[in-house]
Amino acid sequence: MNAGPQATLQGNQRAGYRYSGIPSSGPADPVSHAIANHLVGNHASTTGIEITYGPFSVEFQASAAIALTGAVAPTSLNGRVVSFHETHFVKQGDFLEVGRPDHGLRTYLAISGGVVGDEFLESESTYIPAGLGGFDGRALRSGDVVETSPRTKPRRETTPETLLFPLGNSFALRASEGPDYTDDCTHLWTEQYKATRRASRIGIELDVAFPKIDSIENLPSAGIFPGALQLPPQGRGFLLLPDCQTTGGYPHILQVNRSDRHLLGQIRPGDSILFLHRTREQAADDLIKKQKLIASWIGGFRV
Amino acid sequence: MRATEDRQAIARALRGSRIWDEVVIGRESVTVQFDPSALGPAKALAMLKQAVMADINAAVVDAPNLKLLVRSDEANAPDLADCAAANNCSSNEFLNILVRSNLSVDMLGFAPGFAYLSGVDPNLLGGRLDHPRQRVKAGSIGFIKGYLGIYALDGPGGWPIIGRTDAMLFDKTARDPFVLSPGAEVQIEWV
Repeated sequence: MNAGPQATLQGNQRAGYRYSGIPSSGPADPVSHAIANHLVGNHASTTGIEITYGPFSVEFQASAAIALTGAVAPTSLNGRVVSFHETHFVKQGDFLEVGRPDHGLRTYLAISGGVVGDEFLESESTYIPAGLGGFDGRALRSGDVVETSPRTKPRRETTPETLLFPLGNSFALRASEGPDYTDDCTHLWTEQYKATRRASRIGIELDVAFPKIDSIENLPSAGIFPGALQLPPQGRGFLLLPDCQTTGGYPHILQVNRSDRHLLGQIRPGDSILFLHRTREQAADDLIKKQKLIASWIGGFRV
Repeated sequence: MRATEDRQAIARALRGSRIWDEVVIGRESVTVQFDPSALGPAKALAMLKQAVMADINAAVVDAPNLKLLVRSDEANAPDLADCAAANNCSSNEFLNILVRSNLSVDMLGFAPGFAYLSGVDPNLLGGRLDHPRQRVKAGSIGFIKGYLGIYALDGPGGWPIIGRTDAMLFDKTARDPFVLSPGAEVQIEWV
């Protein structure tokens, strides 16, 4: 295989260990990951490959069903164009090439049976900073061979149109006030922000125009979660993703709600971001609605 | 929820209730995560308040005690001399003050298994390094006013390093992979 800038094995979240400083990890865009899995007959959180901004290529050494979702990139199988959001069947010697997406950042490749990764605390998801899970705890490299679990051939499926979340260069994210939100923060809801080049599975830096909050410098470290918007002293907001630290001392001014958190994994440098103000009750309703929509096709799905 | 013991007891009780997806201890707080599609925000808040008001002492168990053998030679304690000098004492005097401190694990965070130990003599002063290290070895012990920080894994960090233990602080295969857990009392012995 040829792995591109960063391709990792991601499966279920490593849940329940934040008190030990262990982040959840798992796919940055868990909805796309689940859809890809469903297309090949896997459970929604089966381990697959998260491809960051291609180019990525792989030669299959056995027959399998595969599916691609997330950031749509020009992709070919043995030189012929391959569509996203559809089950494809591959055999030994087939060669898949994934290019760079026009919009979005991460493409998900699911393989029937799932990819086998190192298990750490009930999850095979890769956490690169500490070298845990995945393929030796690291990003895939050219020449790596990954194994898959055997599985009976699934039916050919196509993602229902209602579950296609089209990606562009701008994101509107539903969010609620964080614990350190103050009256200085009201213009968070009208300002348009831009993602800088500092973007990883840990977080995304946002440029310009954040409020100065004098009253809350030097906060004592407190628990923090993906979706949080932190405001470090240099004034650039930092939006947290699944590999983020478990505690932090910067003001936590806003929280992107769980209903829209899957979109964070698709924000690329230069994209613009708008935050939509929701109360906590609205946030819960939004989540229930989105989960219901996805669960209508992927039974029991939880974001 | 200011006192250390309160946070440990509250966190233990919250974790024991099995209602919350995550229970994270902070310096002056306990934070929980829950699924708002299964438990509405208003109900969650009510349950959380109830849990904090409940008789948390009932949940207190003996915290595990741990003795760590720590090396303080130049290679294992590159910032010890600077830390001691900043407090107008010798390296040995600095270390002895730490030995006499009642250290306990206040919280884990920043990196997997990274332990913040509270109880350090508040008269000892010291701040972060101006230039954080790209790689600090597992077992390294850092000092910043009021706290010791113990690295369970190799990783980057800005704490001045004043010693290092050979103790296995991380076991990938264990059910609870980190030896240090919140509430544990720690005694340091220099070798």
